[in-house]
Amino acid sequence: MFITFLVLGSLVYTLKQAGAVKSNTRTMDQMSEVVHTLLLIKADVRGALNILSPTEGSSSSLKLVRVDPDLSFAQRVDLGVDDNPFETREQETVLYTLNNGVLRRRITSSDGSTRAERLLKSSKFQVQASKNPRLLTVVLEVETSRVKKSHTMKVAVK
Amino acid sequence: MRMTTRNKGFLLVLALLITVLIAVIALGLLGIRRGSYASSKAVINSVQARALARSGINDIWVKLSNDPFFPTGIGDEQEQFSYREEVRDSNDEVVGTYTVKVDRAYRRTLEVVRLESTGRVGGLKAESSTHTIYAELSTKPGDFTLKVWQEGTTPRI
Repeated sequence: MFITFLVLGSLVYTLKQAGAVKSNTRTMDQMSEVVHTLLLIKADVRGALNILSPTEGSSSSLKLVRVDPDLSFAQRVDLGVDDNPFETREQETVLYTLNNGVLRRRITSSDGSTRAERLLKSSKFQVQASKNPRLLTVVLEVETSRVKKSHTMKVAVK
Repeated sequence: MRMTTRNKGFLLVLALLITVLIAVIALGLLGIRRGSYASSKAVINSVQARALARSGINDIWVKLSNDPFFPTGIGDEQEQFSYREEVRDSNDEVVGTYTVKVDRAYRRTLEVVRLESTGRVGGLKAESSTHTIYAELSTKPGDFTLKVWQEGTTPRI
């Protein structure tokens, strides 16, 4: 009897550990997606020539203008009417918005062509802009199987 | 209840079978954990490489803001140069390195300096992860800011 209980106890413990590993792996995957998204937003804000929205107060979307990364510096110098490498025709607009519970990143080039990326499932996306100091506070809320987790990031605007 | 001679040792065989089953599950778990640890290490290394690359850009930004003609001793005819610095932790152990490349070909004409920083985790012989950031620095008076910031790029300069 003792051996039977010992063996069954070990089995229960092992299965519990297996469940914990599976659950932790899922949580880590979700966390990686959130971190990737936040870093992407941070990099976009860092490289933005101008933040179009929000300029003050809070908004459920983030819109910014940046230099088209597909164009090399040499192309940007040659393409334009003048040598300015930051001409409007060499820029594109990036829009982060929540649509049907999915955070999307829509990029619109100067020629009007757009491409959209689905980033992750999210229940809330809010961007708060403050003027002094110039900061953007990004709040991203993600629902896991049991709880809602809110992630906040502050990004300095140049 | 009295066990017959034929049922003797039944529990022992059952215990043995279940023990083998547990051992198989445990080995499987160890395999999963090994993969999990490896992926965690890879994530940490990529974050570290990114931080090193950012350090490189910040380093050159500070150097150029202190001395617009950095590095002293190099003539204006040399348009590109690069340098590499080691980053150490509080225990004086090497965390990694960053290599900064500077292209100042357009410094006078367009008032733009092109920068590229590549962060590498570990020492020279233990490079496990790299991350490159490309940036364009405006050198216009009163507008000493990074106009372009592109992460995870392939080397351009």
